[in-house]
Amino acid sequence: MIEIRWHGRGGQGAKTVSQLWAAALLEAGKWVQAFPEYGPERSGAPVQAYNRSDDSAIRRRAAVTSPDVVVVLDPSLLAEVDVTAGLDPGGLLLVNTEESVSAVRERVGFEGRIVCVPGDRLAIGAGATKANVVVAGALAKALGDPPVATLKEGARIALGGKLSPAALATTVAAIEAGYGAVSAGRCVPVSRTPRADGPTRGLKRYRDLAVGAVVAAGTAGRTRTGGWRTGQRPDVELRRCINCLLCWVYCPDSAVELSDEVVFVGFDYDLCKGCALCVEACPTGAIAMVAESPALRPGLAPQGK
Amino acid sequence: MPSLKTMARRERRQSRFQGGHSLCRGCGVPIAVRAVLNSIETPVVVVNATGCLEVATTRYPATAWNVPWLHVAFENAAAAASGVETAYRALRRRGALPVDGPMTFVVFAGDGGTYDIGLQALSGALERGHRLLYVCYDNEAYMNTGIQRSSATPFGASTSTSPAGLESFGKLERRKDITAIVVAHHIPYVAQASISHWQDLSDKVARATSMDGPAFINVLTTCQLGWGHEPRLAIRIARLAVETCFWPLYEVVHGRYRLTEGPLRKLPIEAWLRPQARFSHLFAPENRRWLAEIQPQVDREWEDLLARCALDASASDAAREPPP
Repeated sequence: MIEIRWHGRGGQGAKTVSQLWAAALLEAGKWVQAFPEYGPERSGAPVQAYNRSDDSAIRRRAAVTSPDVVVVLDPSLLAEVDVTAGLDPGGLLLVNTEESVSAVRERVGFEGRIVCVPGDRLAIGAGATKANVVVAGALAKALGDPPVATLKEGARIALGGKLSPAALATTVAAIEAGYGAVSAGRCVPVSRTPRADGPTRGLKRYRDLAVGAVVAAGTAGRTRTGGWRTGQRPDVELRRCINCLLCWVYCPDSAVELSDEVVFVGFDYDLCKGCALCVEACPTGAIAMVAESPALRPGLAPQGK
Repeated sequence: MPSLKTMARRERRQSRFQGGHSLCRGCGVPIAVRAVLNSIETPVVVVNATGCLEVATTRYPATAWNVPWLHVAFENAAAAASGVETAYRALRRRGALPVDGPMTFVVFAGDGGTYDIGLQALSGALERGHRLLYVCYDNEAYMNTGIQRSSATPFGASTSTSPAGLESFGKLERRKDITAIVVAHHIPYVAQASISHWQDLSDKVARATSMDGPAFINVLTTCQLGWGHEPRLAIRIARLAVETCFWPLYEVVHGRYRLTEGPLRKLPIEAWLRPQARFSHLFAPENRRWLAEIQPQVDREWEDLLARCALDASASDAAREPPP
């Protein structure tokens, strides 16, 4: 059995690509599973999706905690999520990034095989708006299975009903771009049983949890939702600020920082999700969105319809 | 009436609702929540129905709420709040509170939890006369579970259970006028507001919480995902709902209707429909006849409202006239 865990952000198509992957392997005669992990996830929030495939019926129904393969659709997740949790050193880590393998290795401290693919760039080249299918193409090549023709068939099965013929052709082109971008490899399943010290380490057992859910008030502010931004952040020219506070009242993320005298002083980039409502609200044009990492996802639509 | 400075100072002193929640980028709901909570002077207790707001602000083990906060179920937020308010009153009468003082009880519920699932609990709480402020953040569909139609979804909107396509057109039914249903309970204060008009919303919260009895405010709240617009356009689109008179801003104080902020110039309804993907099918040539149905619906409701307001204004003028 091969178990895959996909890490993405809400809106990047982690769930969709896991379904496409399963459709392809089903077509190849495998037993398959594909499911996302649902929580209160919203566009931009870290999400996960899982695949299992085997030559015989799969009994395991739980989340994938000891994956053979981890795929990361968004490089910013490397700093935010423990993506290699439970990943055996004999497994594969595939990352959509412009960075080198050694740079990624240094960041995540993973000893095993790492493959990097510049998925966003390839997606744009193929005319696609999301890197997820590019990365699926790269994964098929890196694992040696399924063949690219089968993966493309999977795309037709999983997405044919949703996409126009033109969009489906773009998806297929994006798969091919990913397939051609990495060197061939092979996958040897490594993890047969979930390891006790795997991804649940550090979490409390159910007996240790408090009854009910009374939690300390006002603790969400420590959650860094700044990682949801897709390459742009608001920037202010304080000289032009008249302290009307309209950016403050219309900020959904309480990311507009005020002094004790309630004077605008700047943005809390740990909280700001980059919605740009402040830019729209500002009557003097003091706020503008600026690129914060040009290498990261240039020109991609944020999310939504 | 609270100014932005007053509201900001209040939040600076005690941030009742924090960032770091996992509501979508550009979500309209926290804008409504902060405007409401920062307009209330007294300490507050918040009761939350199930929905986007509840789910995305309380990811265990963290919470965005920095006030006493209670969630029970989808259908009973008003009932749970009734219990909390009654308990507080009883304990106060017995002198059993560690600190005695005024307290404001606020319910936040979406249109699913208000128009549909929580309607009986809401009706009961209003009729029993509990002193609480019920705020409906109306984003016009079940956004939390994947944009299914609710009875607040407007005519023509495409949702996942009223999809626009070859076999189906979008929602064929008109939205329920929950504000009128609430008015029929003869409570002291009912209002309709929008996140685009913070001063109007804030003033309404101040008036609502000064009433000795139930108050209800229905706040139009954008959902970029379900409505299909760029996140940055949230406020602009909410404003267009007001300017096209799709969502008039008014209040009903002790049964008397009053327009609180009329549009300077009434825009055609298409100005509101066009920027939203959920209405895009209406602009296809074969759907023009459906599109043409919407403007008369809006006009009729707007004229009815104006007539109502005019009638109540003349009635209260007459009441003020000294007897002959």
